[in-house]
Amino acid sequence: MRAFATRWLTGDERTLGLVLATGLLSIAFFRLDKLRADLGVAPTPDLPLVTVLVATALAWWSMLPRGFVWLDPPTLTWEDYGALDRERLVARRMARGWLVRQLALGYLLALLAAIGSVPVEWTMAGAAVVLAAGALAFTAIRLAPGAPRSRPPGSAAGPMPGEAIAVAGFAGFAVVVRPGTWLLFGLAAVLVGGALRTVSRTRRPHVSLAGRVRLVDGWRDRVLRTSGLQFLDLALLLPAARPVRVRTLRAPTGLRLAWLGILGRARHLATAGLLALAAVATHHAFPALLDEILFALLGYLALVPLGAGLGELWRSPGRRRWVGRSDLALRLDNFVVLTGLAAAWAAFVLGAGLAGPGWNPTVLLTIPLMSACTIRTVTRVPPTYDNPASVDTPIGSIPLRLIAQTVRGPDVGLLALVFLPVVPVAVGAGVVAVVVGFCLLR
Amino acid sequence: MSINVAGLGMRAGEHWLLRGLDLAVGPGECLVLAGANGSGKSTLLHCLYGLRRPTEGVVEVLGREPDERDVRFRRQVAVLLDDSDFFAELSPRQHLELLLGTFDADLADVDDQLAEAGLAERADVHAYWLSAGQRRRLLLLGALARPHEVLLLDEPERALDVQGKNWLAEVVKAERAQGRTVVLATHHPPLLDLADQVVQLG
Repeated sequence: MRAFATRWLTGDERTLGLVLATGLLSIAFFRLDKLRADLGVAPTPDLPLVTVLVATALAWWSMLPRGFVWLDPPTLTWEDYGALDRERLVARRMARGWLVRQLALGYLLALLAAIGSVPVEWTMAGAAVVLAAGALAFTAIRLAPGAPRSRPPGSAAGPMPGEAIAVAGFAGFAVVVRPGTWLLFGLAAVLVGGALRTVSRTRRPHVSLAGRVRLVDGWRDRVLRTSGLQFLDLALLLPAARPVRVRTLRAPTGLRLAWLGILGRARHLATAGLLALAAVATHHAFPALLDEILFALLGYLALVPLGAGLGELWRSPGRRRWVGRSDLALRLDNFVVLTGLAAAWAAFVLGAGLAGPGWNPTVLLTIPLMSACTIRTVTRVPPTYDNPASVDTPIGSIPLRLIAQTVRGPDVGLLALVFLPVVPVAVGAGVVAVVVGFCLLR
Repeated sequence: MSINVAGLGMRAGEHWLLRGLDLAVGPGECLVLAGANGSGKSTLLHCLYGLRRPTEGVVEVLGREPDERDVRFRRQVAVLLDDSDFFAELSPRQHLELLLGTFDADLADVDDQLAEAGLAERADVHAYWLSAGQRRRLLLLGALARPHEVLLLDEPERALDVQGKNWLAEVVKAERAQGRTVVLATHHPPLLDLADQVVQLG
């Protein structure tokens, strides 16, 4: 409590942020009628709960990389000999990360239950599943393989075997089966049973026993993550590739390199699958929500990690010198491959239920839009500020070149999404073509 | 013996970095690891500190399997590795106070140690302002100033000037004289003269 007060109640901008966030989060409960009108209300009480269950799976999924396992090298060099308890630090961080996710899920459940006027027994069943899944996730996280002293010290404190499959299965079950109250209580019982079976008897979580190599690697990842979030730069959050089995790279065509970049990050295909399920669940829970926005937003988030191979070339001049193709050719090749992948993702989403009654075919226009925005995100170069190329307009002088340099991808995508739902399909196609051209040529 | 290695093998994928390596290093002895880049010097140091477990063979440091996750082990073995780092916002003196404070060690000779390391004039300057060589001296001092029985150094001569390398040689001699075991990987030939044993890897 004291730590919370010293961090958040100091009276500076952090406290202001806390007050504003509390206001924003609570005001939603006083504007339920407006939210119902804007988002629409699901015809049956189970649909908002399906969204909460998919969000639970995503929250669990976000802990699989074990991003809390880190310690900075100066601390390891100068303080790591007794006074500082590295295991306790990591364990506390783990508990805090898990608790924040549980609180966010609780808030989401309460809000969606209020918007959808979900009966109490349904809400209780949903809460039981969220808590049970949280308990299972917590016990699984504590038992990260490789961390115990009996295991090789260099091995990573990663997810439990089968943990990723369990998460994906949980989300798939929620969307496909759409369980009723009794099935939800049964699912909660199964999850609690799994948690009890997984529960560790050790006082300290195994994951907190990760070795120095893992801690330093985790710290490096965290530096990039923090910088990316502080500067709102997704390019810094791009995941590294894992080795791909290739016999030879003697004929490295651009398309092949782009495909290899995706294969090296194939582990993120599961994330894309979860986001697809989230799109389906949200579409059914809130029928009035514009499908174009939902589709493009989640599709973009699914594609960005897979386009990271191209991003690595732009982020590191040393790596860029290994590939002797022009920038435009590289962008075009990656755009083709990513658009193919986006089309597969779209087919999965539409096949899994988005293409029901009232389906708007305009969503198909978002396929090239999201891949083009991904290309822009990973290939944006820092602004030069040398010649802003100001243009006089009725509303004043606009530095066009500077604006073009600072566009990061999602912003230009959002601009296109403002037009797509309200213009004819042909005009929408023109808007998308302009955005694609900008993302590939600039 | 402080360090015992028997039949050590370390594999990276299909390739054996080290194979069938036997070592025995006693208190007051210095072992120097030499060899080309990629010959396994750093890997062997990692095995001795318990950062990696060998694919085959036995490694014992101070009579036990090395494991840097154990704080008792960390308090006995001092290291200078690739990932060693400093706090940019602290001065060299504050670094030493922080380090020695965690060991409840004597703080009286901090000035002497800083002077010997050539950092007396920069003792109260934030480490951010130190040159690459001075930063290296500070990291070396961090490994030397704390109580320890075994000292593991990975290319300690890196970024040091001539005086710095001479200081390093004196340090190794002093460590031996105090009965401590020193293992260092180096590309600096004069350090080979200080060794009781030289292992040529690769």
